[in-house]
Amino acid sequence: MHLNRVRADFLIGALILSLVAIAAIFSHQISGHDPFSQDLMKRMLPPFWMDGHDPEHFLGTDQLGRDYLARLLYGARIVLLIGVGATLFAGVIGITLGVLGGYFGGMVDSIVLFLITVRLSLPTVLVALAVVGMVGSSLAIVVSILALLLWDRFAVVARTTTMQIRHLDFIKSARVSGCSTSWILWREVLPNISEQLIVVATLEITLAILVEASLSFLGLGVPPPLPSWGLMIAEGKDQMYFNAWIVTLPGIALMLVVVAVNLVGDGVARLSDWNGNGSTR
Amino acid sequence: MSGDVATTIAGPEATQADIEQVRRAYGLDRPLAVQLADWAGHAVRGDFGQSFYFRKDVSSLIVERMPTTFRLGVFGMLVGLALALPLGILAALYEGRFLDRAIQLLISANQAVPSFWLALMLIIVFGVHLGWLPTTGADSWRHFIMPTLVLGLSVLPALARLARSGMIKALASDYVRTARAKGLSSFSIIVKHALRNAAIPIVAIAAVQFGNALGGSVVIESVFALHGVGHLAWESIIKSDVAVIQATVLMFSIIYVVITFISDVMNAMLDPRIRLS
Repeated sequence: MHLNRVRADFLIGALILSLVAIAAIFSHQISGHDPFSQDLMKRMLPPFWMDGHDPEHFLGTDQLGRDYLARLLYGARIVLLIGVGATLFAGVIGITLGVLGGYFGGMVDSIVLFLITVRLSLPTVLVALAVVGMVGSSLAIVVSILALLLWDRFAVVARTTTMQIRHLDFIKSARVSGCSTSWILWREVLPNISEQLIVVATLEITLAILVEASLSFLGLGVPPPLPSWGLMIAEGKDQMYFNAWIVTLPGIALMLVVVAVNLVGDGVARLSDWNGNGSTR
Repeated sequence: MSGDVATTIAGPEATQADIEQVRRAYGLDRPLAVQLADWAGHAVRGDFGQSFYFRKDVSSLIVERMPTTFRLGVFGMLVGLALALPLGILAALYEGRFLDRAIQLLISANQAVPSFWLALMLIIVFGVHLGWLPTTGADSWRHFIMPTLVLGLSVLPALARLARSGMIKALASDYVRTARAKGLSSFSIIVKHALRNAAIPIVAIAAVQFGNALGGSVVIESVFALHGVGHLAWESIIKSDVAVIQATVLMFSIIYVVITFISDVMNAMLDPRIRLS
């Protein structure tokens, strides 16, 4: 793959993500509306490209008369929060387990491998749904559940990469010069596997975003009235036969964010000649 | 919806005394560990208890719903493979050129779309605007077209990527060069020599994806109102029907383990270098 094109992909992805972040932060200012305030006199107004639209509501309003643009932009906050939050938590769990297993080997490694196998055999969406159904839904609960279900790839990659470097000379010399084990893990191992972990992180962000959308769509994710894009699609489902845009827009927004994160991830992977599947593409 | 099982079973108008009675009748007043051990003891004998919502044996409920889910999973997988292999091979043959680039873009876009949204878009286009296909139910094979397509597309990206990278590696190898030098036709080289070697990782991933697809049937079955195990799981979660939830999660986990094992065996058969020790 040509390096310039890789760089262009990476920059496009980064640009989209920055725009999404700006939209998320300034959602009120851009739309000029509150995403939660209802106006039952102005329900289901069409967006700007259709007849009878209201110039005050650029993308129209939803079934409760809430400004659609405001909700879409506010939804970007939730998507970014879920994606980044769940991935950070999952990273802490997975990287800790993976590095410990890979560095110490033996008994520790067997336990880590067992945990990874158990985690892999659990159906992600189903278990997440069941747990939310039992304990109730909130943003914090959804983030924690996603983190507890999406750490496996971090663990697998951290484990194999740690195994690959643990016998190298710089680790040995650190040990010989009397560095503590925790110093070696933090200062020698972790920085040297961080590149691969960043690529895994971008994969996990997209996974967390898509799983959250599924959970919210099935009514067991982010609770209303928070405008999660998955929830907006679920809420607009009854209207989709007459107003297809109401389910189309949040889906396109989701796709845009996921593609952007993937482009950034691919860029990091190709620039460092490595990617999360261990395959060349 | 409430987290407390006894309260849910007793219903919205139950008094505190009713709830206590239900709790005792269902054995929910015992310590959690005892309940779990009791459940596991029965589960190994194939008895998953009673569903309080459906008023039926959990195992017979699952057996009843299984064919729909399995049909969806198998045909979805076949559709996924039927699309992924040609796309992956084509991309590999035109590596770095326009066709490769276009296919990769298609795969990335496909991967970025949640399957329930894709399902809704298909319903809007083929079910509502064109009116070609029924949107809900499982009465005929035509009801399965959209669900299988959605499931197939959800497993496509990983398979196609692997097919592409495997083929690129295989096409650059010595045995393909030898085959070319022997004067074999391109078709025979691609199918008999390159694809056979590229197939090994694809089989492994396809098995994992099949497990994921069955687990992910929760979403697709709900959208298309197919009454399979996935839909059953979702209903029982909404109704806090714990016996059914436990049984479905356990079943999907067991299926995953079995499928992974089968894929290991198949890999050993495909590749004589991998030996079962």
